[in-house]
Amino acid sequence: MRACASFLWSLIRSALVAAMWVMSFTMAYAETLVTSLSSREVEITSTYTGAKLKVYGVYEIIEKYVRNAQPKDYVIVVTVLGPTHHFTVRQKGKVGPAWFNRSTQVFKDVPSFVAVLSSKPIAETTNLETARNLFLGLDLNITPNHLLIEMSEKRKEFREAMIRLGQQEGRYQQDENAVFFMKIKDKKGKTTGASSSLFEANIQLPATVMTGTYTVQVGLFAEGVLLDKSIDYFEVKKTGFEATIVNWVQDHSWSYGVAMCLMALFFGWLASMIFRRD
Amino acid sequence: VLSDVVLSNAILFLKSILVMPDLQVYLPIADMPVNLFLIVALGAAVGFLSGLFGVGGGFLLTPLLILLNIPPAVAVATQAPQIAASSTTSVLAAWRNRALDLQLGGFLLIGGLMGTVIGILVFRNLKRLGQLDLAIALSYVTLLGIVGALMLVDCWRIYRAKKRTEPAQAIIATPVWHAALPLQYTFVHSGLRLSLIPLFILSFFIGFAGAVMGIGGGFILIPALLYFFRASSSTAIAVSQFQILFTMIVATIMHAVINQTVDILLALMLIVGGVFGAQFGTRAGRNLKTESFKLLLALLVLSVSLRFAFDLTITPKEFFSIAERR
Repeated sequence: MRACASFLWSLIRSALVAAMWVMSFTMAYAETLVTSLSSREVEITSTYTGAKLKVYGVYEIIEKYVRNAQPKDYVIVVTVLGPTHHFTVRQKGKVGPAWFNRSTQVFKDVPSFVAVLSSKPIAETTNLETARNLFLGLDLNITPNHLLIEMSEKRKEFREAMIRLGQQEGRYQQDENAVFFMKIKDKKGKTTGASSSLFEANIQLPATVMTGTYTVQVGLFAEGVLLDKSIDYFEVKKTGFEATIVNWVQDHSWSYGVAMCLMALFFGWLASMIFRRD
Repeated sequence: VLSDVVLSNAILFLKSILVMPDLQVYLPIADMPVNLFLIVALGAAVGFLSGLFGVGGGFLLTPLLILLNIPPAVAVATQAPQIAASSTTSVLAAWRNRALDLQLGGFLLIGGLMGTVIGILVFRNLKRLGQLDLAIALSYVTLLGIVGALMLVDCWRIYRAKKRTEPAQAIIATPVWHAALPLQYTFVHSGLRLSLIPLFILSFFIGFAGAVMGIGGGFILIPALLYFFRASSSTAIAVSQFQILFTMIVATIMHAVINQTVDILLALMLIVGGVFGAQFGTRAGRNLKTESFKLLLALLVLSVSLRFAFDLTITPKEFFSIAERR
């Protein structure tokens, strides 16, 4: 009896250990994310009319420890944030027959550029709570949720206008079909329906952008959970002639003004020399 | 809207006659790309008109730049070196012909410079308050409305005089009302005896308007000197160009230092287009009948004024705007 009981006990124990062993391996089920940018410097030169960057990445599933792994539905969310700025938003009102700016609201430390690019709608990717905590979505990057709640109705209206105008300028973007997984090819080189773990997304910078450091955050999601994330940076700067002029205007405005005058006088004199009537 | 159609057609016309390649150039201060050829052509076209009629053309160029979405602050400030360039040519010509009364010019300059300095300070404060665009638009509606209407009346008068085969009336004799004012002074070179008070008020106003609106003011100053102060036309042109040159030099430097809105590339394009356009305009003016052109110019001026009035009074599609990022 005793031998039988101890045998049973050891059986249960080893089963438990085995179960824990399996579980521990299932816990080790892991994905890692590696990303890169096509460029880390965007130069505003005299021919700049906007720029395009690519985010590349691949997620890797460490599968060898996994047992009974179900294929998950992976979602990539790319968030690009530009340097922050104080924005002054003005609202027109009617006075007499004419319309002019009557009220003003200032929004401090708002990113001048926001692009939220994903392979699926954010709402289908994760729940609202997580989205708020991780700043997923254009709205949340403009104003965090806890500040939005405290906002007056009037200020909210100004904020919405600021977002709308930013979208028109191409500074604020949210595209839920902008991250593409590359298709797997079969041996004959034909694409199959299946997606690989390799993805890419385009970042479109408009003609009017602020100079400074832009951050690119990439998150890998499955089943509503953030599995891994990466962060990268690129720099937008004026170079060459444009940079020289801006520095000149800002640091030596007197000499810039005098130079403008000399330029004007020179061309005026030149024209009178060329077209002299004698 | 009619004025809108006229303007957009004018720009389209410019584009088509020059078969303009779309070479975009990024303006470092305005922070936006523009079509190089369009701006140079615009400068040349306005320069041509100003050469034809002997006025500066700032009152046309600044609104056209604003209609091309260049920030009003940049358009107005960058206009200053452009006007300085074109008046340099005129002042040099007057100097060679010994038509320049330095005493009268110098006195006009005192009022002009004071007006410029105050105008630029007002400009800065309006910009800070977010009312600069409105102020510029309102001043253009008023000024261009009046000037355009006067030009139309002038055209009508010439037309009627021709029809009746009567000689066109000479300058309307205005009573010399300022002869009774104190501070009379004799300007030897031009042989004028004038009170300094209305002269000062006039030059101050021109300097002020120049700084706020991006105009030289020749189209007000020259007729005023001719009709009110009875100066000869060569004196009036020389002296007003002299005042405009120096007030615009000061305006350029002050806009650069205080408002930092003078764009070197935009200025260069406008100057190159403008100085050459003006020369061709002057030549054309000697050969062409200017009456029909005068009517066209009057209509153009009125349509710019109407366009600004329309923008001010129509219910806007977008009630909100973001202040210039700077």
